Amino acid sequence: MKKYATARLGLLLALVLAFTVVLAACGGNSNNGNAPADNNVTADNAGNAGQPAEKVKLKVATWAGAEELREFEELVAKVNASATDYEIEVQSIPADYYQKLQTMIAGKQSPDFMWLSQEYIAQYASLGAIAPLNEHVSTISNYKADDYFQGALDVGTYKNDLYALPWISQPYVLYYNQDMFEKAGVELPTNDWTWDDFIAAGKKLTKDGEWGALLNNIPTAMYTWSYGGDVFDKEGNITLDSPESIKGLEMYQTIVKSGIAPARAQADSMGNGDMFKTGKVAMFIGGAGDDFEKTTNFKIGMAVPPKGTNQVTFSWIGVTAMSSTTKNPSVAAKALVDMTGAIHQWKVVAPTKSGFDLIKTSRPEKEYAVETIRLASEFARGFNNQPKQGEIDGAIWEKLTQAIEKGDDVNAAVKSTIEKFNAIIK
Amino acid sequence: MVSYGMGRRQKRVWRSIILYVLLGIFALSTLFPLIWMISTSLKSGDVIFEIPPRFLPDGLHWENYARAVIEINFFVLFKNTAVITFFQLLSNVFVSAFVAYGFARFNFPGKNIWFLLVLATIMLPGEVTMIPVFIGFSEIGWSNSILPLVVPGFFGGAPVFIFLLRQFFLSVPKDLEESAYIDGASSFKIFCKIFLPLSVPALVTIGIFSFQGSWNDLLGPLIYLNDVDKFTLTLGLSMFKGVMKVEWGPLMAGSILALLPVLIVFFMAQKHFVEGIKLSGIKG
Repeated sequence: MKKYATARLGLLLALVLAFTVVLAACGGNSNNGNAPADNNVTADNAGNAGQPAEKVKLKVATWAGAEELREFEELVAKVNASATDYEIEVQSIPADYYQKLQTMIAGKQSPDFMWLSQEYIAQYASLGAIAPLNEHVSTISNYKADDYFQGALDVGTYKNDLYALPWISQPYVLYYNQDMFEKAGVELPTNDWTWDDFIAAGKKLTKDGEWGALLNNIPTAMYTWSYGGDVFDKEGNITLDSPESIKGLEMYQTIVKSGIAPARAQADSMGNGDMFKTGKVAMFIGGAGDDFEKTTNFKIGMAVPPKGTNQVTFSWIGVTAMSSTTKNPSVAAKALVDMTGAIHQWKVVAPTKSGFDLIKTSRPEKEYAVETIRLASEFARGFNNQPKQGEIDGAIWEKLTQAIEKGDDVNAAVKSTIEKFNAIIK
Repeated sequence: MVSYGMGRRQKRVWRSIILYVLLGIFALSTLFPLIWMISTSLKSGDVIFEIPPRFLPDGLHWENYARAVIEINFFVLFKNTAVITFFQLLSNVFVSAFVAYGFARFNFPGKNIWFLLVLATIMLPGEVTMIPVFIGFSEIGWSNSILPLVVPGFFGGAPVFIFLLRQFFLSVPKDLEESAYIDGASSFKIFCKIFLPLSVPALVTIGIFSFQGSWNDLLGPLIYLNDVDKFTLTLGLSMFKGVMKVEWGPLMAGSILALLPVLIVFFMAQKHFVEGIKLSGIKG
């Protein structure tokens, strides 16, 4: 018994000792890895005549997972194969993407490139975490600013500087259940519908257990855009109380009061898209890339969203930004342009005018709608994002959207929203 | 009299029937998520959210398991998770016990203040220290390695476990160690020969907590590991939860595979949970 215990203790100590040795070895390794400045030379390329001796090593952080990650890695491998002066490595962040990203940035371990959703650009730019691209991309021949849709490029811009290249822009479009329209004898939506047409058709389509439309997806700001207003203008001034904005918000309240849509809580609990998929709702405004064509068994149609005085739609825009700590920004910017160009050949809907042919080949079920999506892309836009966009969105939801949906006075709701904005911005 | 007796018996039968039915319903309701998980792991992508839901609507889709294993390199991640869990378990159980022994049995200057400091670290949420600790580990070149996850435990164990074990050790009668001391045992020997064997149930309990905690930990590996081939299972499984689309079939299949070791460990160690505390060394 005594021997056994001693042997056990001995084993334990041996394990701890062994572990300490492993630890020392590993520590040495990662120390090397931590000094990228000395490590830029790849063995293959060093001293290879006719080619630059050094390949700049770059990392791109992505939220892509599983299959999407593999596709992205293949794409990056292809970009690397045709590059002479850089090599990109994909870094997968499969959960809590922004938490990890912010920790890495704080720890001076920022990846050279990062995928961002539009609402983070202003924040990261104002904190100096990402670098302005203008001076670098202006010299790169395959960067074509004109090819981008303006709305997509705008969200990559903060205080007139370009900080990020968009790689996807999914404009919101109006999907409709053609069977329900035909059954109710209502004329199909067209690309020049107004919100009034939308309400009129919605009323005819609403009967027990069935609704004309679903509104939950639509950002409240989009109604202000419809009449030429906005929450913030491009310079960051609050314009939520402009007559145009108010008019848009009043239209939103009119739509809610018309009763053509199920209450928000009810629609949320049933799954927004699912209500449309199961034929309970005739019209749904959602991303052009949604897979309704494949998952529904009725005839589906698509038009651009209704307009007020302006034709406009919201777009979900993803971008890649470049870290302000990247070692060789001019080579990195070139790599960013190449990589973004390659993503435009992969992701639907690309934020570029030349990227549209891809829809027909990679999403053949969307072929019927290519022209509608192109039209929507032309006037699609994101928010005029502010450095504290997360809190701004919270204030809009709390003080504006809910108040309007409850039937409160629009002007009063706008006033209290602006008060909250001012408290946040200060 | 007779009818009264029958009535009582009948009453008892009825009472058991009701009891069993109720217990059965509760048991089913607790098992339901697991059953649902298994059925989801065998469904094809489109039918998971069908209303009304069906358990196995379109045959058994075993390919979800194949995808879970291949797409996230399951066995590599399994090995990584096992390595991290092993070292965390080792440090949590033995180093914590060692430190707890010190707090329970030795008198040294500022003992109570030190103990209070250890307790204070329990109150501090991990999110608060995450970034400074991350910066510290990157400075010494330990980011993108498992070292920040396993080494700290060897320098003091885990505060919660230290607290639990200290309380447990305090309840060990002094007479036991005094007699060992008279027989010439050193303090370290007393720790190994008396305290550890007496605390097996407590150590096993802590071991299970620790195992479960590090097996299921997401944030730690997420923050410190960058390369996919260093990832743990929780990170691998998160890959099926995309921003745009969640692949429920492979996610559930992978979760079941990742759950198996936890279940096995739990069933193996289960008897220690109910064994009670062995403190029968003293008589009179």
